[in-house]
Amino acid sequence: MTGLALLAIRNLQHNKVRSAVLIFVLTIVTSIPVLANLVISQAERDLMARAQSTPLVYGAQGSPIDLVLGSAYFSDQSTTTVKMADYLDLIDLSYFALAPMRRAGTIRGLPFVGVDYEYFIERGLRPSEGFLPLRVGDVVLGHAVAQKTGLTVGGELRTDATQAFDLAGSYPVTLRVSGILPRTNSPDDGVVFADLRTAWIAEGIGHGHQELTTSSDPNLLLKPQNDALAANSSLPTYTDLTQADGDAFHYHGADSDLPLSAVLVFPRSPKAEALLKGRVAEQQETRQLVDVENVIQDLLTRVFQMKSILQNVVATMAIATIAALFLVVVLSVRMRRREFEIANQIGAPKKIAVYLVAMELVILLSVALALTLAISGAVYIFDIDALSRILVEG
Amino acid sequence: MRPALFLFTILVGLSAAPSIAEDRRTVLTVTPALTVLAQEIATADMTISYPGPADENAADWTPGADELRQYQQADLILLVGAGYSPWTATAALPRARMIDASQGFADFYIARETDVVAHQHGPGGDANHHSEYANTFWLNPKLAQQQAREISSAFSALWPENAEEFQQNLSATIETLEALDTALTAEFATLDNVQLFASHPVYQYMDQAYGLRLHSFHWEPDQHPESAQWKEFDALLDPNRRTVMIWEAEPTQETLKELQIRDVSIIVVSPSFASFSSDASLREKLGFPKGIGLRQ
Repeated sequence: MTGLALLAIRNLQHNKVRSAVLIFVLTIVTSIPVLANLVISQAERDLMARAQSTPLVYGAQGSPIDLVLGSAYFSDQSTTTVKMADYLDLIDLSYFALAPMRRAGTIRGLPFVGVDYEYFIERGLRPSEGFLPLRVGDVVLGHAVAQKTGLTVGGELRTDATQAFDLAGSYPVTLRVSGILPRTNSPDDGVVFADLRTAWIAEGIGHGHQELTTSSDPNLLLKPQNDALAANSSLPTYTDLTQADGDAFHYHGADSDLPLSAVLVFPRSPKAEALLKGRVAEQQETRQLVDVENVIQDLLTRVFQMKSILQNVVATMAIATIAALFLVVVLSVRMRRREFEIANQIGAPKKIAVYLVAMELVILLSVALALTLAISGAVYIFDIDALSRILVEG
Repeated sequence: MRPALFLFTILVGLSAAPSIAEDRRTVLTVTPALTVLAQEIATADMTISYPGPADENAADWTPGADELRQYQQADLILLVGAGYSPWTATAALPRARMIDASQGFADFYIARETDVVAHQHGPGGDANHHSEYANTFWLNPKLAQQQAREISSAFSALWPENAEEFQQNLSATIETLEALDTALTAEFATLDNVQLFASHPVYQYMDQAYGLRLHSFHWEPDQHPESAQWKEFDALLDPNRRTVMIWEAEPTQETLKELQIRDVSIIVVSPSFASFSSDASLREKLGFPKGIGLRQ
């Protein structure tokens, strides 16, 4: 047996390239299902953990999945907005906590979200450095954002321009980092958070600009209209929220009309949840209250369907690989016919060819499985998220 | 054995102390007057405070980072509303926990002159609303009662288990405010034939409640008015009537002398200062003097 193994190893060593290719192919075939399972299980755990920590989402009528993914996972789904008036109507301190939020574009390609302070309380988010936003212009970075951008407390960053060719659109605004959140292994890690008012200013809904009455620049004036002064478009608009006086900012229109992407609802009791569902049912034509866990369960059911499709693909791939492997073995045996004849002539058993090829295959498969285990272990221990990103983003 | 038992008791007590402190319900306000009203309604286990300095006008105060963090962590934040404490418009505070104590009587707001410019964007643009209202509501005890009701219902919503006690305390507070209203009506009646000036336009609701027909200046208690301001003052003085001037705080000695020369008495009604002793009456804590009448 030892001699057979030695012969098999020597032969594999002699045909280095062929052995390496076979190990590579076998490793790939065995790794893909294992890694896919790891990623899917991790995604399932993450999705469910987030769903369980976000009981209900209130938003405009439309796709519940879009509403949940946009508000709880900060995906780029655009949903119809609700108004501050809706949120103010919902407030009932004895029954539930509410966290209104507004997705206000991106900063360096990462989600920029305006939230009420209650969001940090309900999520249990306390900064590991600095402090949570205190005023307009302050932002707190998710852990992954801080790592990716290298920004520290006191650093400045600008919102991304969203309307490059719209001269009347909002300008990017400069914000100051007030704090950095600890790693939470949740979507919060990849987000830049600010107060709702900062988000509205970043969107151009609120703004501050130079006072005409105190300006001595005649070029700013268009024409006098009765008692009013009319400025032309060269009137400077404040874009640096780190410097501007907070009082200089204002919003046109009523506060109750300001837009929200969604309102996260954290009921204090099952009774509170039932009462709220009853209230929102009365406005079901325009508003919806979504149970996040149910939506994510539905989504995961679809993911499991995808998983079975993936398993079928992998099984087909495995059959093709085994067929290719069989071909390689058959060709190899034919090429080595002379070698096996000599072995028989010097006293080796008649089935030496079968034993030797089987032993070689066992060795190749063992090495491939060991590599698969090593890769999977490393991915599991170090960073499944990174693998997810590689698999998803390519 | 006994020292060990004593030590154990102390240690248990010390370890329990922080949790008791954490369980304390915290309510912060933006002005001393609301603190006073809330304290009247609160239960013994609640901490009601105004984090601003006692000797500074609360209407002009802006909190620093430490105070803002205190506001963020409070269970409730009581606001005056109607533009009082404008810093709240740009602070990142928990909105659901911010209670506007004057939201129930917005129809009774009195508009005041403001130097803030209204503007709009383009002919069809929305005009922004920088309109400002007088906001020292508690100088009219009837409005103070409504503020007390708002505070009580906010407390009951957050701590329904104490709703009955809040209601009892509210009833007692309303009785006290009714008595205050009766007393103020009688006291201001003694000034019926007196010309009344105010150092600052902060007494609109008191004026409305007691028919004072006040003329307001823009004088600060810690600053001596300039000669042009005295000229304006003198031009308005009615030589046929006694004149009383209401101040937010005692004016400077120099100002007092000038007023004495003109035979003008003063009354100090300070709606936004917390410079009262802990054993002061509700009347004094709301900013009224012990008695209103003529004094030199």
